[in-house]
Amino acid sequence: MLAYTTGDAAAFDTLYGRYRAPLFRYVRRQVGEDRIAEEIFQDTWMRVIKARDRYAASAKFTTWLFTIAHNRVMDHFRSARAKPEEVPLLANDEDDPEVAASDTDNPESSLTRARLAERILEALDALPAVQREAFVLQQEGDLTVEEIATVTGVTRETAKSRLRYALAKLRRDLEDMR
Amino acid sequence: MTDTTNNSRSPRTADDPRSEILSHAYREAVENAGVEPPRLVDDAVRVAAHKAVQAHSRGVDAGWRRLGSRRWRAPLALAATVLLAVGIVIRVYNTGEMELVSPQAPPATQNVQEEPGAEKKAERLQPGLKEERRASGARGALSRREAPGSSGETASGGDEIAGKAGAFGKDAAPPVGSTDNVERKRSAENSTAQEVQTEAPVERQEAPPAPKAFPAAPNAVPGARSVPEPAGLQREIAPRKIPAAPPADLRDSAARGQIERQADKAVADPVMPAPLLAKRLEGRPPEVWIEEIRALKRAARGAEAAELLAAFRKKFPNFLLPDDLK
Repeated sequence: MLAYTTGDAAAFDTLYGRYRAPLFRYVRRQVGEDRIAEEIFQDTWMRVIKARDRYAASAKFTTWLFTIAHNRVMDHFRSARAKPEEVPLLANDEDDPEVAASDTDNPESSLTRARLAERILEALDALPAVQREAFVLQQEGDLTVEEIATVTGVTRETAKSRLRYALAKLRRDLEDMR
Repeated sequence: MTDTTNNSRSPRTADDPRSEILSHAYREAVENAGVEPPRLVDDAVRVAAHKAVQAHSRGVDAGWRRLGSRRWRAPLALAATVLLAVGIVIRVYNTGEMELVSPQAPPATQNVQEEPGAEKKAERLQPGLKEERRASGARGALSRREAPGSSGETASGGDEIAGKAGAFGKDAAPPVGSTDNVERKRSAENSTAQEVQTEAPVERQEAPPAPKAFPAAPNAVPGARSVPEPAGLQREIAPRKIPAAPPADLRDSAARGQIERQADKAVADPVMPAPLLAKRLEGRPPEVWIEEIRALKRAARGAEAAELLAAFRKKFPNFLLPDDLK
């Protein structure tokens, strides 16, 4: 990104090639429609291009990119009055036995990858938007809990809770696949 | 890309909820689904990015150019202003200097202004001068005629005149006619004439008289004087330089011929009626009157000559007229 800000147009091509698919999948997963996803995706990159001079080298580009995309998605929901459903946070995620379940003793390990891949997308769509967003940001942007919190504008605990609930629900949905 | 830190995986804490099995399953699922942005969107984004970079570089170049031109604009304007101001100051200074100097510059005016005093001095010394003239023949007459610029010195005495005239003659213009000198030498008859022969060439080399007193004279030395004098002033100067009646022994000589020619020039050049001429000659010595009358005669202006002669007789009733005017 720094190379692009100094006028290296080829640097943008590299950057775009690396993040185009993860970003589009994130947006597509949030809005649910290809047309709107394309619009938001293109607008997100346009904002990146316009705001390149304001990009700070200290910031992580992925965080910055997904933050722009998140804000654009929120704008879409505001304008369409289609806010994503709110999921009440639990006081202590650790008390939830589903969330606290470990991967090691998870029945997922016994599922075939192909079957799991088919089901996971369905289970993901069934998740509340904020939990889905937390999980998708973790998977597509390879973000930490703190970074997810930064992108979504919530506290670390909130981001962590959303992520744990998402994982727990996905496990529960895929339980029958063991 | 320099964004290497962005590519590295984030440092994960131990309490980061993560399921490796779900992650693998999710990646497989999305890869199989092939969810990607359309190529049209890709092209649009890339074109926009490249245009933005080009526009930025053009803007930067234009900005630098503008900045460059602006950077030079102020010093250039300042330098031009300074040059202009210095030029104007120098010009004004030079002009002022010339104006300060110019009133003192014309020597002709100065000479003319000095001449009345010199003339009075000459009149005071007239008796001695007359005697000397008679003694030295045409020398005095020639000196006064041919060195008008040094008329004061001319009136003060013969030897002094000759010496000073010789000093002036070093830088003076060449003589009007060099053959006249030879003629004068041949026609000299007495011992003073010998002196004339030795000094006359020096005197002849003095500043040319004709152009000063009579700028319109046909045989005037060209370039001897650049500032012409007014006609009235010329007329005032001219009679003063006309010598007194030459001695009889020189009447037929070349010196006399020279005097007569110059007298002719004095009178014949500006046509002036006799009464006006008589008025102009008021206060002049009788020799000047005589010479004017002769010049009028030679110019075939007999009536005017007679009128002037009558005026002369009234003014100088006791003066013995020369034989040719009786």
